Amino acid sequence: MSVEKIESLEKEFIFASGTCKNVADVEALRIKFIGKKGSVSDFLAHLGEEPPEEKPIVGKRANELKNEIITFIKEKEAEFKSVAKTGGGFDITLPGTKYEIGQRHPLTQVMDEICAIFRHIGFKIVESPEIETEFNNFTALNIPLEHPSRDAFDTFYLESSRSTASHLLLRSHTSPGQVRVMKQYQPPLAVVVPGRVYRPDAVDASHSFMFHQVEGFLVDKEVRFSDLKGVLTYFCQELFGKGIRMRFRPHFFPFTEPSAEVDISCIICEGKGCSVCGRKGWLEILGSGMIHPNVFKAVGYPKDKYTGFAFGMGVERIAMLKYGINDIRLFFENDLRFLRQF
Amino acid sequence: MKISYSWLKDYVAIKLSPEKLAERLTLLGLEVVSSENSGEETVLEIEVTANRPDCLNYIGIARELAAATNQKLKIPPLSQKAKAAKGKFIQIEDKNGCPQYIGKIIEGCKVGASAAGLQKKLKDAGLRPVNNIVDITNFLLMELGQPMHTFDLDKLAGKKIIVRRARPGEIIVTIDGIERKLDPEILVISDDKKPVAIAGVMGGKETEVNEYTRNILLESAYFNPIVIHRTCRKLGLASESSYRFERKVDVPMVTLASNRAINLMLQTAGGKLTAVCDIDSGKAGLALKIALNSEKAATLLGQEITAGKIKSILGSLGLKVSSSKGKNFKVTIPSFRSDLKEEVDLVEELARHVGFDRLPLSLPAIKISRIPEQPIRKLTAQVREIMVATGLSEIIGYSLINEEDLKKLNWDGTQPVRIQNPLSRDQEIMRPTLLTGLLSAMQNNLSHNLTDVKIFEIAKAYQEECETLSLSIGLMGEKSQVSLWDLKGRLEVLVNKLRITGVEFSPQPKNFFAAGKAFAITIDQQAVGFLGELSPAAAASLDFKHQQIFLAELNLEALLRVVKWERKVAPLINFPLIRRDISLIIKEEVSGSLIVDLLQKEAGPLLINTVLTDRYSGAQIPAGFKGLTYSLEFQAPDRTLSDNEANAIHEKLCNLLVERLAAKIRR
Repeated sequence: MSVEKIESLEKEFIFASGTCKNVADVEALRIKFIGKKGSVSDFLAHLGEEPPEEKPIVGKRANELKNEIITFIKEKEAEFKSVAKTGGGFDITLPGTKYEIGQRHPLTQVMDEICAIFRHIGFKIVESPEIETEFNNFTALNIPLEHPSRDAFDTFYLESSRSTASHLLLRSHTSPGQVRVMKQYQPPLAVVVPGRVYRPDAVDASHSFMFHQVEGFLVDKEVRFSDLKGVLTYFCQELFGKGIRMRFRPHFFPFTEPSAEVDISCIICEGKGCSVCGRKGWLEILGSGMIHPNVFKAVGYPKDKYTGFAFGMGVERIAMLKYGINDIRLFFENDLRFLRQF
Repeated sequence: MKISYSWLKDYVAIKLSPEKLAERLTLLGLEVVSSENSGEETVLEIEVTANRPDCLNYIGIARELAAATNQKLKIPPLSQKAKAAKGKFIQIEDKNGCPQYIGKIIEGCKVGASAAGLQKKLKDAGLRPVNNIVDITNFLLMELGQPMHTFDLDKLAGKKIIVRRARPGEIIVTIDGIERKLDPEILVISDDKKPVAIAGVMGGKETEVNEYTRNILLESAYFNPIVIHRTCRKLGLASESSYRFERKVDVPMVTLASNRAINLMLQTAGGKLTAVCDIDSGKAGLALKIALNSEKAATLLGQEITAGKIKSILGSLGLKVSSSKGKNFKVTIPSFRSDLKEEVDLVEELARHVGFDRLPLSLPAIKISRIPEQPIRKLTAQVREIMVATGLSEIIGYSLINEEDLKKLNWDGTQPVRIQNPLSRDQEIMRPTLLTGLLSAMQNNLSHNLTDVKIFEIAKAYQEECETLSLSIGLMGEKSQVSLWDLKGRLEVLVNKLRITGVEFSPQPKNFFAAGKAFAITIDQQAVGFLGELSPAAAASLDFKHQQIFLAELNLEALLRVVKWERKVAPLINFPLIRRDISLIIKEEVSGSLIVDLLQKEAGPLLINTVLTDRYSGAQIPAGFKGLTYSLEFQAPDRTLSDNEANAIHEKLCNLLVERLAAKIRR
């Protein structure tokens, strides 16, 4: 008796399923069979009234039928929903025509962004040669030739074809750009110098023998240390967001006095301490300071007439922090899977 | 330099926790780069900048801390001097390399292990305890910053010391057991026969003090920083001693440290001071006095600092304000602060101890710099924009490369400039072409199975000792996915957008390009670059497989000379435009430019545009011929052009093509 009942329910379902044409039909089918008062639900609710010897068999079949209906409903619903998206014949879920556009290198993008911030507040952008003299790269910047302070600026020298008295080298920082501009122009000066620099460093995840720097300086009458703090704070907040905190620490650079290293609160952990900031909560981002009088002297400015500040930053480091890049070599491998993310 | 928290307390009272101490030192410019906590002890690693050799010891750090926390600096007894007869066992041959050398001899001492407390201190500082004599010199190295050395007197030939340059061919085995070759650039300490130490850097193995030593000679000296710096570079050797000598040690400390060393040695190892020899050629000089104007300091910092504050900060650092009149101060600089040379240096001291973070913040009124915009930057930005718009990804390649990369390319352009001191062969030359960057990027991508690579780079190429800003474009694809037209088309877009005229492409063989697929780009007959297909030989030696590679390079500085920034809009003509196509089959050797020249010359002013819309070859075209379709646009500026007029010109052109160029017109 009960087996027959089940079989008739099954037939009923097969027939009903064939007539489902839309989401509403599916819903009606659901209510009819497995809703609270549905026929299959009702049958299962009254399973206790079946003879004990049939109970396991019909119970099993009834449950199988219920699961079959549930699966059917899910599949149909998904089908109708996706059909609905094709909007009557045009399947808008298929991808559009693929247009290939290129992109600037991430380092170019970061350098452009840095330069744009300074341009907004009146700095001029100037490019300077990569092949430099010892005078511009060291001497004019108050870096004595034989002193440990030069060790930080290990430098590639060019093998000279001609026998020139002064050695040519690949600039080890963008600061010679400062010297060149000051030799040519009188203050007021507000200038940013972006570009490639070179140091004989063994290549690993955080070192490269070629990298990029952005140098900047402001020279005028009565430029103050407080101006340095103000301008660099403005810059960091523009680049990393208004929420960051700043820290200025005394440091040593031969071409500035006082010299300050500039930290920002870690943008990864917001100052709590993480692996990126070495659990310190701070990230070193800029070197800076008030331009040393010896630099003014080297470029031929009159004594005590001008003051100014200068700063420099590593573009790779900033890009790595901004984009969560953990290996500097990625910038120079030019893997399209990397470049296309920018 | 490593500083242990408890040892530092010997010289200054510390009320800060180790964490707070680290922060405080960092904000003074003594950056704590790491801190190790081992139960009861905290050891701070401090990065001392090159200008502050006075902080390469406990007293120096303690002095800074005492000044910052308003505590008293506790200096150990230094001037007590054990008496002894004057000896004559030292001789200085190079007074420039060694202006002062003090030798003191203790006889009958007992060498053994140091007390546990001293051993702990040395270990915390990262030094290995050796014996009570050596440990005292190391202890004082850390405490006072004066490196000293002890010799086993009985192993010194002639029981004497000669400070001189090494002789050619001399060698020494240093205490680390390594044999080192010396030369006359290196200053050595020698006995009667041979070098027994590399001056200021490391002692010799043979004369070192060990448990059998009975009589010692203690060396305390001032060595010329440049001489030590050169020696270290030459030998590739550095030590705690050389690190300090290179940065200048404090001259009076040469004497004082030696006094303290003898006192401690006599206390712990016994024996008797028997002879002293002090050769001093007078290095000390007069104490430097610097004038400081508080108004100037205020202008530089953006905040005034009171006279009282100036005196207290400078005083606490061991500087003496010898006189002050209103805003003018005379400051006497102690010998250990050789970094303080002029007024700004004193301003920095004030700023440091007021606290950089406490100084105010201001936004200056930035005036307009009278520097013209660099036109090359404007050009670069536009070129980059156009390249990106044509679907190219910008790459950055290395400026320094391995010479092999040029050889594999079969480069036949200018010879590269070599680097004198590369770290590896990968940096041995400066690239004369940007092609190497494109090719290495292609190889990298190919190794990840990316075969469709369209890239460009804007960077310097180096010829002789000049750098030229250049543009390079590279297209790589599987066969027939990419063609030379894809490259030429991009170059055309570039010159058109930059309003550059007079551009011509003409065959010019290059070793690295395939035969017949190498072309020069000229503007008004001036060479500005080249394009072509990478030769099969170069492709093979660079490990490319079936890919086709097209490359171009352009001198951007040459483009800058001909770029036209002005734009004048041409009036738009609103009379109807008539199009007529010409499909023709013509001999391969008849150039497209010849056809277009003929069309434009003979059509008259009504032909306003000639566009190649199709080129074809294949079964229907006989060998040695090519099929081309041009779309001609006719328009009159002042009236509606009739179909008949256009048809007449079209007919005339077709006939001329047949007559003059032997073309076959497909109707």
